[in-house]
Amino acid sequence: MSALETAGKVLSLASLSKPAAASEPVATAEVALVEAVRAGDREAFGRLYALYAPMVHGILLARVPYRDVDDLVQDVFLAALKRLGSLREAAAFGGWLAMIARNRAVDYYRRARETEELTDELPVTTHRDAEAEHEAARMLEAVRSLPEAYRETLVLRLVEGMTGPEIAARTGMTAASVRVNLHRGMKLLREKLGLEERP
Amino acid sequence: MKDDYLWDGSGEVDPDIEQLEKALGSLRFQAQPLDARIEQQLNVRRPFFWKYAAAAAVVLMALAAAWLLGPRTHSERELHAILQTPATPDLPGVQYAPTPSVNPPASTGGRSAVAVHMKKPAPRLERDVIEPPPASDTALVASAMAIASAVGNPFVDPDTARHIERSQVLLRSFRNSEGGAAFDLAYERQSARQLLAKNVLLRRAADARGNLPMSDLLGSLEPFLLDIANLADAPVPDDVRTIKARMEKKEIITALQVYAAPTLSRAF
Repeated sequence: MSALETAGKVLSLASLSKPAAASEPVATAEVALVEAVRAGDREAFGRLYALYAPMVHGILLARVPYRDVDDLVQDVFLAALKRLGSLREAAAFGGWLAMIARNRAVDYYRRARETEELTDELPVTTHRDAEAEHEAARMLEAVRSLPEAYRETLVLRLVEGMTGPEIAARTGMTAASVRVNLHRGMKLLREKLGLEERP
Repeated sequence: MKDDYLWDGSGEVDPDIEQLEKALGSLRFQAQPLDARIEQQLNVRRPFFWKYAAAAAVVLMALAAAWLLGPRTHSERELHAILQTPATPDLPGVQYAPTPSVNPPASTGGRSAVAVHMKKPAPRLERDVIEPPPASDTALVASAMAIASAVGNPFVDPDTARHIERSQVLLRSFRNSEGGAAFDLAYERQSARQLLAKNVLLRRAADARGNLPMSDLLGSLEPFLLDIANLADAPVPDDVRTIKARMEKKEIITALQVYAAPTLSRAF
């Protein structure tokens, strides 16, 4: 690992632990949604799910096989719903949910080691043609080979289609950290894929 | 600037990033209905609102109970005003029987009887006037603190707390009295007479306020005070033993202790 990678990883991992409220203005609408869910509003939970599911999907996709990601997304939201009472600040919901997703990915490998060997094949039942599927698998594999913070941010940007500010707002990272992760991660990804950085 | 495109999709399009987006976009999250487990969890989930509402209701009920049954300090004169009875002079060693009739004394033969139904003041018995022993400074401070902290018990006001403590001391002293052929219970009889008059007043005041637990407690205490107050000058051991046996059976000291315990524990 190069010095740049190491420094970037340390910086990025440090930024993951920063609360969103300290750096980014938190959307009051999302805070209101969390409060509504706490008050028993089912519809509010559905809206929170729609809002945060792409982030959870991206975080999981950066770590676990594609075929299991959808089930794990549901697991994460179920766990979040059960533990919502322990969340002290509604404004920290995004970072809190992201942490649950990361922990769920760790649990996935812990349990999988005890049962079966994992494969990282994409599902063959999709409508995509084989060539596009192969290309997607190759690129995803390249992204997953990057340091953890880079791959998570890049998956959210390139797979889930979130912008940098959206990633920062959802995950609780600072905008500066997201920008650094995107920039350095993209640089490493170009090298992995053999793409030349354009001037 | 190509960094802008990577950051928020604005600016000049980076072909490499666009290609990556296009290829990897096929793996993007596809909206799916919520899992049945989540639906089930949502169904069984009790709204927090009701928890807060229930907690608030409990707090309000507790406050209302404390207000209704809580300590209301009445002076002796106020108690008499409530009960519409003539006020008694607060002279140490002088006892007046209150107006209501509770229980007539069982037997008064040869004894200095105290009748609680008498409207006129009982004759003053000079030989029975015995001043209580002086209390130590620590005991006085503890007693004052105990009385002041009686606010913690919603059923006991400071005046009643003081009465219960004195009654408890009297009953313990009586229970621990020893004597072969004869008992020297002059002090206990004197105290019992003082406490009996006060007990009737407090019990009726508790009744008037609807403080049933306190009314019951004082009602249970009254016969013992009456019996001790009506003991003969030289009571025979059987009479004393009979009262002691009833005290044990009724567990009156324990009942008084239960009410006095919060007060005493706060004092120390």
